[in-house]
Amino acid sequence: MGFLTRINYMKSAKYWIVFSLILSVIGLGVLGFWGLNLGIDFTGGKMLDVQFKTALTSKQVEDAAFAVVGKNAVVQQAQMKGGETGSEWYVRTPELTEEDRAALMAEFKKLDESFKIVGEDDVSGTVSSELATKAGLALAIAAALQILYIWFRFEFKFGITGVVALVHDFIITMGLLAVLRVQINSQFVAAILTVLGYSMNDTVVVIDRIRENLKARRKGETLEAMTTRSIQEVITRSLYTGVSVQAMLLSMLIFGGDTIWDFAMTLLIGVTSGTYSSIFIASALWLFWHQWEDNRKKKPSGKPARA
Amino acid sequence: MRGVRNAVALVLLVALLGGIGWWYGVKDPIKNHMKLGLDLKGGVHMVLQGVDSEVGPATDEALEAALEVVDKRVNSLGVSEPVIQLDKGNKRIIVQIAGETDTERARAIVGKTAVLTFVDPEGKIVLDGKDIERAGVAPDQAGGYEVTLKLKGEGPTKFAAATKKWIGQQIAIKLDEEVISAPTVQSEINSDSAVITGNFTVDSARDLAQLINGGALPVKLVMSENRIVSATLGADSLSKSAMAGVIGMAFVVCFMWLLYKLPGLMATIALTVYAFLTLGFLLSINAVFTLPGIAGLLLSIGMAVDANVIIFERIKEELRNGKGLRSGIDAGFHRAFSAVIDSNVTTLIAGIILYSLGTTAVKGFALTLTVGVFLSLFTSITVTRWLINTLVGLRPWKKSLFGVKEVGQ
Repeated sequence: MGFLTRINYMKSAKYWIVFSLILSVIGLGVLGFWGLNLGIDFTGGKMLDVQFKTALTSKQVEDAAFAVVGKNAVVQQAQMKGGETGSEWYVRTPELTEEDRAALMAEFKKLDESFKIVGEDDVSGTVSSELATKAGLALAIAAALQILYIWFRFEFKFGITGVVALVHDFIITMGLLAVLRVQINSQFVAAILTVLGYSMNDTVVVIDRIRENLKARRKGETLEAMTTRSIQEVITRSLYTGVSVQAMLLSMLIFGGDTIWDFAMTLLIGVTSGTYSSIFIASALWLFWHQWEDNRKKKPSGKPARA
Repeated sequence: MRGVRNAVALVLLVALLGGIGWWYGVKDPIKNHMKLGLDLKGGVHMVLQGVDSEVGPATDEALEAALEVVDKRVNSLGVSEPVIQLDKGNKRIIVQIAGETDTERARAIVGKTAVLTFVDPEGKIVLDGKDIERAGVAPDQAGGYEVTLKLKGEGPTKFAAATKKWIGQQIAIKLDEEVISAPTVQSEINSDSAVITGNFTVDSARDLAQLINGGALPVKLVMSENRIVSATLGADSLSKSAMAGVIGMAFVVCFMWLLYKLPGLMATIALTVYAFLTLGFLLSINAVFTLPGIAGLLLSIGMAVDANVIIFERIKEELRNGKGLRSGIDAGFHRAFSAVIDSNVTTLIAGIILYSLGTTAVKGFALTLTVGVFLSLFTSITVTRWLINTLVGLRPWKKSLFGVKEVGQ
């Protein structure tokens, strides 16, 4: 991995920032057009996990569900749980009355006398809106506290660029989740907050090195060279830690079953984006901000600086 | 002498860890000691929301009375250790039933949130929940079962008048609009007790009695959340996440050996200490292990590696710059300290916010993540350090065993 410690990171930083900006715009566009695939925790409704002893086609299960709730039902094949043979399905419907639920069960029974409800979730509309509010609140508080902490321990500029990096990770993660149609449920809030915590963690390791090198700058070393050197010094660590965390997440994704898939996927995307952004967003923006400020100071007073 | 002492200490530690691992892995699996959440052992989680309605406003008193009714219903299911809580602030009753239960029946009995009425053929309400003291089950003469009713307050008077008027006709027992039973009036009932006969089995008689008892809700409840996980699904999630953990962990361990040689080996020992400490701590505070909680635990193992990586990279740097092993290691730890602390504090902030704002499932995740980060901080700056120093005290090692190729000037 020696070559990684020789790349001149800040030289191409402008292009990376433009790249990220374009990605973010695409991400926002995708979110605007397609929206997120919100699960019942946010929309309300019913999610059934049904096991049949026989192998069925999705058409058969769909027809059964459509017979009761019309085209509102969404049917998706699930992983077979508990080593049984047959087929397993997720059936998602709007909130059902007791009669409609009984009718749905009767339809399933027609398909297979010995069907089994393996899991069933009902969420009413009120709970879901409350959850969304709480999630937003948690995100806002977390971001504010992170800025305060960084400000206190480092400098204000790092707090701001660090949070810009967080916003970047947030948009990229949400955008990719929208593209992949990953279902967003209450656990998603936990996943995205962890991503933000991790991204900040990664940023802090990088800026800690910049802080240290800033104090002991080599003779004649420009700010840009110093920033690049700092990144070269920590890039191995960023990579190794990233790999071990991603290995854990990939393992969850592959072996953890479909109940945890959405959660692991959110984390995986976010963690990857977090590693990238601590170098190419947080550090680069910090550098540009400093350079801009230094240029302004050098200019004779009276003339306003060009921004 | 010092070398021997260090060697003994290391061997003892590894033996101790191996012993603990064997005991809780094979002899007496740790699974048996863990308090598993509903998502891992199966069960029912229901949230009943109190709402203002024609029955009355959802006051604290009404909710407390409703809690008793719900409690009775749940206990009628004969399940072990159900948890029934009242959340006054949100006007909610939360019911949790764990383990292998007839979830379909639990749903039907606990989830019935409707209001009970006895309605005559003209649609007029004869009795409602507050007129009924209790319903019970008794064997009838034909060898079947019947449901007994005990009335209170104005109940007997009202019931006498109605049964006198409607002999030979049906009086419907309704939960909201749903007729749960429509017995025919055999004769005028002029006392505070009555029986409902029919082709009841023990179970169906008991269910009806429970519905009548439970229907006497002093407040309208709406099922706002219902989560059912069968034992099959729970066990499946548990075994799969354990599998994912083992494979992920194996990869991380190999990765550390490959990258850092001797210190990597020490980091593996430190990670094991970390994993045991975290599990031990969570067990000792009786934490409930949920699926997101286990995910948090696995993630924290991945992150626990981070502190070690930061420190080892620093040590490598110092060694490359020409420092000797001992001074290089000291300097490495010293200089890595601020990065390790600051980076973990930010994750802790996220964890604590999650814990204070999250829902039950999210709380489990936040708890394991927070505890994990905290303990990983602790093990990396104490245990790893002790291990490395002990190792260095064993004998003079080559720098290459610390993952450094070129030796500095």
